[in-house]
Amino acid sequence: MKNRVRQLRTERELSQGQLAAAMSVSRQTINSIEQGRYTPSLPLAMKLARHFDSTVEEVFEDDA
Amino acid sequence: MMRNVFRGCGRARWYGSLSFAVAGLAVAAAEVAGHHSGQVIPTLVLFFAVAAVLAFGGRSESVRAFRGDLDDERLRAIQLRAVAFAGQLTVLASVVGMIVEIARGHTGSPFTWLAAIGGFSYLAAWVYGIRH
Repeated sequence: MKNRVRQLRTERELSQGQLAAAMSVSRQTINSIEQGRYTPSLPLAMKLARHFDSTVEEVFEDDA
Repeated sequence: MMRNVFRGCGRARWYGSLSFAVAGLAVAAAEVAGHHSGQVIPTLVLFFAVAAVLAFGGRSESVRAFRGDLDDERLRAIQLRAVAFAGQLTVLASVVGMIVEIARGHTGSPFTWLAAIGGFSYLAAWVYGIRH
């Protein structure tokens, strides 16, 4: 699933490790989400969106 | 819902490696009891090698996830798929083994029991999943 996580993270000058710690997931999971290899659960997607003061739809793109 | 990604790091490392070491010793003892002493050394080497990897595997995500001191929803999904794959392969091997043994004129045991346990536990898990 395409998303803007990397863009939003770098805009806020956060490392993957810092974002991972804030989301209580591993750094590799953040990397997988950014690469589009892993689609997060709804709770994690909402937590990510809230962290970036965005909505889920603004962070994640439905490419179906 | 979302748990801490680092789950008892130190303890998990030693529980995992100790479990493999104890399992290796148990299998080795069974081999001695069954008069297969020649297999003891390879068995111990294999189990203790896995125990060492778990204990001293460093910062590798795969090792840390396998031994259980790294945990998040993606790793749990990977774990679920790995267990499902291993289970399907085990049941398939049991069914093939049972068929081969029956064709050889034997009862099919112990493959029959393994296939039955796999099949019934799958059905039970399915019913449980539907109802919960």
